[in-house]
Amino acid sequence: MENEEIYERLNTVFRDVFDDESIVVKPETTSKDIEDWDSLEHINLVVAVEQEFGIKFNMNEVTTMKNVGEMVDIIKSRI
Amino acid sequence: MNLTSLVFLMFCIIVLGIYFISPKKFQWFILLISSIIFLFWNNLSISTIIQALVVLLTSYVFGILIDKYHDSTKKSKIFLIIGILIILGQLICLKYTNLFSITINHILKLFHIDFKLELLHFNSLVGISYYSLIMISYLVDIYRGACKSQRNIFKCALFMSYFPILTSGPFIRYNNIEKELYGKHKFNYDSMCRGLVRTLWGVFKVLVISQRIGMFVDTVYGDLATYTGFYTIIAVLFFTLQLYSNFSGSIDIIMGISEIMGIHLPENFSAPFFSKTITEFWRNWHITLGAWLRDYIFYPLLKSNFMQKLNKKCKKIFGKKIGKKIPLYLSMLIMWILIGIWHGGAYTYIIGSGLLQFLFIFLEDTLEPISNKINNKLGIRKEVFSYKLYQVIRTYLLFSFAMIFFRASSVGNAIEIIKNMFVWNPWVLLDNKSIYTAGLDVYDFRILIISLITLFVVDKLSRTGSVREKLSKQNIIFRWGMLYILIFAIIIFGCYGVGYNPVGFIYENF
Amino acid sequence: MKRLIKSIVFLFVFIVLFYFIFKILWLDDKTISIQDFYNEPKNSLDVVYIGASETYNHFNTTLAYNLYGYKTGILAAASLPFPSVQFLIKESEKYQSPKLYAIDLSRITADYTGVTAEDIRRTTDSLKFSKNRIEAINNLLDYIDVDKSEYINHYFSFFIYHNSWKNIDKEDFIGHSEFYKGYRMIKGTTMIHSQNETPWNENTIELQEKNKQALINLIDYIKTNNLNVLFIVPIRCYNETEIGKLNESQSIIKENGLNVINFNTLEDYKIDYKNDLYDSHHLNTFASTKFTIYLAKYLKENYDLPNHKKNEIDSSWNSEYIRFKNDFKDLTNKDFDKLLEKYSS
Repeated sequence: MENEEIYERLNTVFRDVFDDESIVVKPETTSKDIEDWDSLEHINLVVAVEQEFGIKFNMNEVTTMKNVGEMVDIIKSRI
Repeated sequence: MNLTSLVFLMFCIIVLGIYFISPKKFQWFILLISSIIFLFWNNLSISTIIQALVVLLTSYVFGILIDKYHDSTKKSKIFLIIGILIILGQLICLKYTNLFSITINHILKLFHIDFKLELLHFNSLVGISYYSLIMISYLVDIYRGACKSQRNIFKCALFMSYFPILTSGPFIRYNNIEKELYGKHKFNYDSMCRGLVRTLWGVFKVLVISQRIGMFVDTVYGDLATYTGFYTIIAVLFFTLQLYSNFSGSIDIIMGISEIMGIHLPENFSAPFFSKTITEFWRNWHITLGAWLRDYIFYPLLKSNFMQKLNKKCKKIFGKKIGKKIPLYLSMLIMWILIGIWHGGAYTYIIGSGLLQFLFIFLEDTLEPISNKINNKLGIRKEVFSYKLYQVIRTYLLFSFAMIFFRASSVGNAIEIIKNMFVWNPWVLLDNKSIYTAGLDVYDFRILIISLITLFVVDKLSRTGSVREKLSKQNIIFRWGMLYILIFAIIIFGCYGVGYNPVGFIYENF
Repeated sequence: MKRLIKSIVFLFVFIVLFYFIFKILWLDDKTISIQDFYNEPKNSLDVVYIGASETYNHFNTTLAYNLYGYKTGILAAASLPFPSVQFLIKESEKYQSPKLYAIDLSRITADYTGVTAEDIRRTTDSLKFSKNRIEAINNLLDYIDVDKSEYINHYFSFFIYHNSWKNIDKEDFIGHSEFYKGYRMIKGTTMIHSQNETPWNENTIELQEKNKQALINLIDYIKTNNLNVLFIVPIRCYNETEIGKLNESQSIIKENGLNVINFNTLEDYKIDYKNDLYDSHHLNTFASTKFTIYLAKYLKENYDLPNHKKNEIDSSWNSEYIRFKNDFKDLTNKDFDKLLEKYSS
């Protein structure tokens, strides 16, 4: 899958989870950049991404991923 | 070993001396011997040796097994679960049997059954609540592939018993500390200076502030009939500071020592009392405990099938916004009850550092939209200093209230204390006399106020970067002046020696 | 290298600061008269008087010097535990070689159960760090059955004295002003409080075992070291038990060929219980003058004591005597020389 398509679909997920139509994610995007993205919402986000792409993150990845770019790398390796 | 005792001072001097004289490849082994001595100090018996061996052997053996069967998730999962159960089991047996007994006794009393379970007392090792959870995290991390198992049983033993963390933590993670813990460390003058300054600051917080406040709090709480009203209110507010200076002071002491040896431990505090909400507070207070619970309980719980199914159902019934909150709050409630239990096998802890904290966070979250509406209607601005001040004070008061339970000897005792606060006696504060009759005289109060202001200033400065860094940039006269003041403040105003009964390290009993 | 020098300088400045702070915080206790003793030049004292608060409250050393020219050192602390005497003599022997040791006997009546760690600390904390000090601490703490874990608080008494920051006053910076070569005159002792006397009797009562042993050890020590000693029973309002124990002690002392003088039963010394006493245990300043005149003469006549006055014109003993007289005038509005004349006749 191309990067562009992945980021498109991610945008949909993010907008849905955080209820904000204006979100556009980039590789450098971190939890600091999105207002409601705290440790509580993180899991919801992760699960939503898993469902969107039909993949599973393992717990280690969940707790250590630093930005959207890392998330995308994992998605690409799983598809 | 008391962190501010002469014994510990001697211990550190000897250990540091041998550590830096030894050939670097044996340094970790020196640490192991020192840690074993610290672990079993004044507590060497067949029972304690067995306790330690159970946890060590379980972690070591199952760690290797989980690693070995990495490819077969089923097998490695079984080993993981057995390993966790054994470690958890010994922790529960040694620390929480009384909780069961107390609960059952209450139930029996409720049904007027004349039978009481005897409360047992087990001699557990110092740091059991820390190393048990740390070794569980070790096994889980191996399972998750975050680190590899340690094949050398002695090195594994060092990770489990590293003496700086035995008294009050912090919770360490294997993959973060592995390199430095077993590494080679050359003596570094700057590290020694920086470490010493941090340790001294910790000693100051413990001996000058925490012990001093303790004298007042103990007096007031020790005689509820005499000390009521404003005495109680001040004691409640003071206890929070006692807890903070005691706990963060102990952390500073051991972080400094560990830093001298070249082993950097994760921070546990980040000026928590400048937090504006209880939610924010717990991101800055006992940080490593929060991180442990988040990574090993909260996330796995939230991500579990059960919670996800619940999530879907709730979203269907209550709508997306409210629906997604329900599994969240449920997981949080479970987590907070566990935090409460971790602090101690008594209901005072479960309420004080468990249920009440959950309640505050829950209310903060659910009431936020309403409070925003009200603020908008009333024209109250949230970015201004006065509002932030209100938030900080409110957070402090909420936390102090919860700590009434934490400090009380029982729930009934806590309720008595709360009732005591409602006695009207403002003259206690105003007559310039009475307040000095509750364990601290006017001199002690003066020193305490000055010390607390110092603590406040240092913590405020720390929010914009390391205070030690800032200090090191100043000129030598100022730097040395500050150091001499710190050292002599400890020597002159420290509560040690005859006439002072040391209030124990609050977090040492975990 | 630069760092090593920095560390050494840091440490050096620390030690200097510590020394000064130590001095200011040290021993804020005004019921001890030992410091003046250490200030005297080596081997300059002719008499050393050891005892409890009666010792430093009663014997006016600068007056004795003024009258007869000999120098008396005082080693005394309030509620001195009796076994301390031996260690104080040992301490004295290190710095002085007096012709006579005068020993206050009254504390032999005090039960060891009534002696506190504070009482012991008054003596041992004042001593310079030495083997004798450690031995004294061990002996005295054992005397009152203190737990061994407490010993360290006595070896390193700074653990206690750092607390005296609460009590800092002018005295700590300038020095003792109430002591004149060991003799203490405080405001209150110029007052008069009438007391009831218990007439002396001849009964003897067994000494408390530990105290008896301490006395015997002391006597042995005196004999072994060939010391010249005079035991003194100071003026006080004693009760029956104390009188009985003192009688017993006196007979033990006499049996061993040593001398004792009991001021409560002297033919030619009249105690005026209405006017002489400040409280039941102590003479007031006026009566202490009377007492000093008598004892100073007694010591001069019975012991071969030198007269330094001829050779030393500028002695600190003179200046301290003058300071005493001035302070006396400030406190009582009376002229000490006139008082001296009155009592001397």
